[in-house]
Amino acid sequence: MTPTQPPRPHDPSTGRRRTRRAVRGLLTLLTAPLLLLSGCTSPGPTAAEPGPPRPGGSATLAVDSPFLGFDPNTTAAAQDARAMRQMFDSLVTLDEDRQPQPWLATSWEISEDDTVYSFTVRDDVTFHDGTPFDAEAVCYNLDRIVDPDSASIYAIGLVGPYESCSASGDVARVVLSAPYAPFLTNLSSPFLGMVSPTAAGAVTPQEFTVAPVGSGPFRFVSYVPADRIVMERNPDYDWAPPGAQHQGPAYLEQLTFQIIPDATVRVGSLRNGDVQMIGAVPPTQTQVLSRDESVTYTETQQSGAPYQLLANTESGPLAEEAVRRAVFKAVDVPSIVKALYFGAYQHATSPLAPTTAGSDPTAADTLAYDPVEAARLLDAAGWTPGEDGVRRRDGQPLTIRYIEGSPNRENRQDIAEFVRAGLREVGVEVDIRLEQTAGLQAAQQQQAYDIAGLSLVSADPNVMYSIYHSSFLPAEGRSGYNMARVTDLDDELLAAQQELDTDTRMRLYSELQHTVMERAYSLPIYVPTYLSAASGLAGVRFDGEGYPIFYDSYLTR
Amino acid sequence: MLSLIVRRVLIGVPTILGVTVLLFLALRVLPGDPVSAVTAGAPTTPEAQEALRLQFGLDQPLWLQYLKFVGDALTLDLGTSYASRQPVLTMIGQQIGPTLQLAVAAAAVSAVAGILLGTVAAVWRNRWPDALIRTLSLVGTAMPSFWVGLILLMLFSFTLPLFPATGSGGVRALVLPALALGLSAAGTVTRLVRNSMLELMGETFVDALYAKGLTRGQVVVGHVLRNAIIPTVTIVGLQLGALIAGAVVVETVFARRGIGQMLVQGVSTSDFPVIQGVVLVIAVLYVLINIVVDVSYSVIDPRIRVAVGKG
Repeated sequence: MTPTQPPRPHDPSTGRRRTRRAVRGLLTLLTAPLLLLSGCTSPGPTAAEPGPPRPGGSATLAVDSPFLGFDPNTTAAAQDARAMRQMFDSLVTLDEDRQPQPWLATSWEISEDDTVYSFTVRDDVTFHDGTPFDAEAVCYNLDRIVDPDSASIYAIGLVGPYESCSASGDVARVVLSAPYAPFLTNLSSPFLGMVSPTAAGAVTPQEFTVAPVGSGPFRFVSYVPADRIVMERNPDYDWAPPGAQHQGPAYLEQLTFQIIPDATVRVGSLRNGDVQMIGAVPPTQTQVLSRDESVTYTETQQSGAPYQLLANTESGPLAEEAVRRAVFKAVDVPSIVKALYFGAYQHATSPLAPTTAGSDPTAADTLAYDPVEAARLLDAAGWTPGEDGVRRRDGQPLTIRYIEGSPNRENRQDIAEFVRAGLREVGVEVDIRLEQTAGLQAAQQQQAYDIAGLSLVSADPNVMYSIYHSSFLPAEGRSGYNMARVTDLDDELLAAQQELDTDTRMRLYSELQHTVMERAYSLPIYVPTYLSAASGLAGVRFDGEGYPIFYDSYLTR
Repeated sequence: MLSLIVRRVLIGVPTILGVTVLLFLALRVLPGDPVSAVTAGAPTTPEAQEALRLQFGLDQPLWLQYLKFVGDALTLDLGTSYASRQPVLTMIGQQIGPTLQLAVAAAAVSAVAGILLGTVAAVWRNRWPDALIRTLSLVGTAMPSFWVGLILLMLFSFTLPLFPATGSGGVRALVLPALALGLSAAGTVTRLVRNSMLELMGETFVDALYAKGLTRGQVVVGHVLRNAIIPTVTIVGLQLGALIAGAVVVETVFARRGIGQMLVQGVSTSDFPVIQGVVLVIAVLYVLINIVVDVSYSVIDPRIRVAVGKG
């Protein structure tokens, strides 16, 4: 393993991460005569070459939306995971090929029938409250996640068919009720970071989530809701995972995550030095920031399911496969994504984002933009152009009901407008309905749509199970991600979920991705990407799911 | 005096009850599913969602949910946030201080700027200071506070680093948000003070005061302004309620903590207990402020006290 940052391939074969570090060219140019006059010839450190890491100081990351809590076992928000990643360590970490590597667990064995995992854990790790980390702690964490009193939202899904855990010596023996291939990958998630059994056992989950205790490089100091969370360096830290650039305690003495909802104010605060890094940079600002010589601008693609349009395959005009394919082939995805995101987001070419294990970048080729073919398919399906340009069959116009969320998250409403314009060209009318979260869910549950958008963050390709398995069908009073209403892939999805041989499993997911595209269940649009910018701070890395890691980061001025 | 307060409080009770009924119904009649909102973006199992629904008590009939809400509220229990799992009352306790600071500071900006500018405009009626102030007050009223906030940030934080752009601690962090929120409100006060003073200046008692030999300054400040203050107090008092509600926008721009931001977040995640709790607190504050305004009137103007005493 090389000690460099994990790549975030846009194309898995090339590996790609766009970090634009600018040299302070202008500044150098202006001060050059001065330097000559004074006889000084050694240039100081620039943004491009920040010099050796310097311990000390405090840094602030400005994020865009509030935190819900910091208990990995119970909370669910991506924003929470950004803070939890600094305070909690996981049993395993993912390498550049997104394969699990030892972290708090030094090794593991899996039983013949793929249901029993025996983890040997480190014996030199202590939590922030002084409690030693051991096999008992692993079992405590897993049991706490499935305890109904914890009301776990997300972690409980990550442990899958977890049944029981027993500790003996430094070995934790975890029993599953069925094979579950995503288990190891999921264990790398911040949501399965290990909490201190002493601290978590002493208080209620409601209290622990605002006073978290883990074993990570930073420990919790204070949290003011809607304002900020402050963390400080853990001086005893000596168990950084492989992939980290150094060992021992973190460089920064103090780390603060401040909530600044307004994007303009975030950018202004970065420029005037109030904060050292900002997240959720609006795509419209990326051009300016990437040209700014004092700023390091980074795009980190999120793994999981990219933003995609799901076709309602159960009722309405898109229940017919040929019509779905025609509609999707009339959408010029690359042009739309380029026009809306100025190159900050890449267009998606598969139902799995490129940084997800098993992502097959050729999957969506069958749905490539081809308006002539789209028109031919519609003609063949009996939808013929009417006098007003809208196609009709048996007197009925071809109208697609398209639902999208409000507010306009990541310009998704504009995508809807582009799709409408594209489909008008081939004689399909699109009726766009914008709804807030609540109304959106009602429309999904009542099947009042033909097209609905979705993206999900996940380190494992098993995210496809959540979108295309029949147990995730939305129903009255119950939401679900299977808005395409797919019911004929259950066996294949379960087989891929239970297959532990990596090569076989990746082949299964490749087939699944092709099947989903060939049957036109969904149309991948863009890869959600975390856009961040730093000024005066270097060494921030990103984990497999795109969450920042501040362990190696240090101030450069 | 006491009977005035008691009467006002008695009128306030049904007002607040009405607010809770409307709000409670609106939240539940509108389509929505707090469980899905809480878990949005995370692949959760249907079983986990069902467990949450039971935990939130959303399986109970509507009237029972309402009775529980009112009963709990009477014992100062506003429930637990679906999203953060913290008691709503505790959350409001943590957030209401900065919001009240902001609203009071903005009301002070509105009152001071409004009275000063209004007086100047009245004294220099139909001359250039008046024309300028009238234009400014119109512009001020028309400008949304978030826009004023961004302009102030550009000028006095990003370009000239005089004040911090964000944060909730200290007086310096309060200056720009208070100006952003207060200046829009000041426009209304300016016009009100100007008009009241002009009206009073035409009264015969003003002629009598001049006849007595008082200077213009003495008349304007000591008599005309004093009388014009009464309607101003009403408006500034009523504004304070609106400013607490208006803090929602300004708090977001300046990344200040407060119940405004809390409410925005609650609405976007269908966090019923948070929305109910914050709106209830705002309603109670609104009613309380109105009572204080009514009472303060009678302190400033004894005639009102006498009239009430007789009535």
